[in-house]
Amino acid sequence: MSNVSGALGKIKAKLSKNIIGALCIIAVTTAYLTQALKLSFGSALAPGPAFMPVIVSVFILVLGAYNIAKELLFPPKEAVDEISLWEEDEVSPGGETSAARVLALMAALLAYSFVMDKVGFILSTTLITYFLLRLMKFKSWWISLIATVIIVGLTYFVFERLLRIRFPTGMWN
Amino acid sequence: MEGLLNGFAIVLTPMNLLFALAGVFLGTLVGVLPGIGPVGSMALLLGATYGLPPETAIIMFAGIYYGSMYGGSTTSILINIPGEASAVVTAIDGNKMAKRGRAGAALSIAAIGSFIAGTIGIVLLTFLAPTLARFALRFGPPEYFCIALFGLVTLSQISGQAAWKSFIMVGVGLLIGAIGVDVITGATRMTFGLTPLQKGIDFVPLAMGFFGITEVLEAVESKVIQKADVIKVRMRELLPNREEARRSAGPIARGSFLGFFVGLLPGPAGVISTFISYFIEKKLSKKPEEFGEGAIEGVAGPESANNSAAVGAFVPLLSLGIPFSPPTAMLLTAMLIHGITPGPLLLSEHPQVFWGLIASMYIGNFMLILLNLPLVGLFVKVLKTPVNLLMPIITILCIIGAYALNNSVVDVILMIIAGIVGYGLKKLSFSTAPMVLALVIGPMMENSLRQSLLIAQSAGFTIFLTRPITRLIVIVTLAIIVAPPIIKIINLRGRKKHV
Repeated sequence: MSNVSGALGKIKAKLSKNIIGALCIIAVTTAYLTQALKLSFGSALAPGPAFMPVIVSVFILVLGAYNIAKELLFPPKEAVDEISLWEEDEVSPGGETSAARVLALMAALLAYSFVMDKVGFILSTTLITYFLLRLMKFKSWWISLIATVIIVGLTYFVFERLLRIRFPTGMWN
Repeated sequence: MEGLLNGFAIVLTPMNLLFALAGVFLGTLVGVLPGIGPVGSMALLLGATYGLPPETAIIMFAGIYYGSMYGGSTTSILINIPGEASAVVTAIDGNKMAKRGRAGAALSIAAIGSFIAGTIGIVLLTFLAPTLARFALRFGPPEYFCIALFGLVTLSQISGQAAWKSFIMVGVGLLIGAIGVDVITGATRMTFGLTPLQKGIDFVPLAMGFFGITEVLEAVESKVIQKADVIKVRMRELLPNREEARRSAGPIARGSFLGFFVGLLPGPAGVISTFISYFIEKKLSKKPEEFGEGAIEGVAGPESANNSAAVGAFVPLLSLGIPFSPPTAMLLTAMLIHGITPGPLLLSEHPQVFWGLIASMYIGNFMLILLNLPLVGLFVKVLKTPVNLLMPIITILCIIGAYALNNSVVDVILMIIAGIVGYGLKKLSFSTAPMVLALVIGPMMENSLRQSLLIAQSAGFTIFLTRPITRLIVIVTLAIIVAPPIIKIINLRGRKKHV
C-alpha cells in the first residue's frame, strides 16, 4: 500500500503545470482530430476542408508530446519565471484562496446559462447576482438583496428599455 | 490632407464628439478599474451600437482602447496597482514619486507624455496607414497568408510565456477558428453534432469569457484588496517643476517613436514597449541609480511608449485588415459587425470611417488630457468601489453583452465555458491571448493558404518562395523561429568555455 502511495506521490510530483496543461490540450486536440479525419483532407495542390485542421492538430500533438517527454526526462532544476505580458488587469492576490468558492461559482454560472431561456432573464439574473454577492461576502444578506434589486433593475431598464435588447422571458411569457 | 480634413468634418458633429468623449471616458475608467479591460468593455458595448452609424461606433471603440492606456497609470502611481498590464512599469517609479510627495508631477508627466506620444503616433499613423494600404493593394492570398503566419509566429516568440506554450495556444485558436461551415466547400466541420456550432464560434463571447469571467473567477478565489490606500493629490500640486519637465522631454520623445514602431509588431506591444523604454532610459540616464527610487524618466518614457504603441497597432488593422493584439481584434470585429471590412480597400470604400477614425484620435487625445488631470479625484473614487460589488456587476454586464450579440443564450453558454477554460489555463500558466488572436486571424489565414495553393497549381508550397514579398516574409519568419535556440546554444557554449 505504501508503495502504491509512494509511486502516486512520485507521479504527482512529476506532473507539473506544464504537463497537466499539455495533457489536457492533447486530449481535446485528439477528439478534434478524430472529427477532422472524417472530412476530406485533399492534397497540397487541392486542399480540402480537413487540410489545415489536420495539420494544426498534428502540430499541437507533436509539440505537446515532445514537451511532456522533455519535462519528464529532463525536469527543470528550478521553476522558470515566466512574465505574463497579456493580462488585461492586475488583481492583487493576497492570502487565502478557496477552490470551493470558485467551483460553486462555475456551477452556478453554467446552471444559469442553461436555465436563463426557461426561467427568464429577470428571475435567473436576480438569483445569480444575489448568489455572487453572498459568495463574495458583500455586506449583510439584506444589503445584498437591495443591491441585487438595484443592479438587476438598472441593467434591465438600460438594456431592455433604452437599448431595446429583447431578453428571454421564459415561463413568464 | 483633404481626407484628414473631411475626417475632422465627420468627427466635429455633436453626436460623434459625444461618442468620442464617451469612448475616452469609458476607456480611462476601465483602465483605472481592475476586472474589466478595453477588450471586455468593447465586447460589452458591441450589441448596444448596432443602431449607430459605423463611423460613430468605431470612433467610440477606438476611444475606449487608447483611453485605457491613460487610465492605467493613475492607479499605478497612486496606489501601486496597475490598472492595465501596460502600466506595470509606471508603478515602479511612479509610486515611489507619489510617496515622496510628487504624485501630482508623476500624474501630469504621465498625462502630458501620453498626450504628446499619442499625437506623434497619430501623425505617423496619418501618413503611414494610407501608404501601406496603397502598397497592400498588390497583395494576394499568398502575401496575406505569410503576413498572418509571421504575426502568429512573432507573437508566440514574444508573448512572455514559453514559446512552445504560445505555439500550442495559437494552434488551439486556429482549430477553434475552423469550427463551422467551411466557406470554400460548404462542408460542416468539427461541430460534434451541435447545430449552434455550424455558424462557427464567435470571437466576442470567447474574448468576454477569457477577459471578463476569468477575472471574476480569479477575484472570487483571491482575497482581493477591498480598500486601497490612496495617496491624495491636490490640484495645485499637479504641475511638474522645471527640473522634472526638463528630464522628461527626452524620454517622452524617445518613447513616442519607440512605442509607435513596437506597436506595428504582433503581440502585446503596449507592455513590451514600456519595458524597452524603461530599459533604454535607465541606460541613457546620468543617474541610473535613481531608477526604482522615483526617477521621473521611468514614468515619462514608458507612459509615452504605451500610448504610442496603442496608436501604432492601428496601422496593420486599418491598412491590412489584420489585428495583432486582442483590442485591435475586437475593433476588427466591431468594424465587421457594422459592415466595414478593414484592409487596403477601406480607404477607397469607406473613407469616412478611415479618416473619421484618425481625426477622432486627434480630438480624443486632446479630450483625454483635459479629462485626466482634473478628474483624477473622480477616477480614484471609482477605484474605491468594493471589488465584491464590482465583480457581480461585471459578471452581469458580460452576460448581457454576450447575449446582446445575437439575442442568443448559446453565446452566453460559450462565454461562460470560455471563462472557465480561461481560468483553468491561467492556473496552468497558459496565456489565452495568443489563442484569441489566432481565432480571429485563423479563418483568413486558412482561406489565404488554400487559395494560394489553388492558384499555385503544380507549384504547391513553393509559391511562397517565388514571390518577392512572400519570400522576404518567409525568411524573416524562419529567422524568428530559428534565432532564439541558436542564441541559446551560443550562450551556453560561451558559459561552458568560461567555466
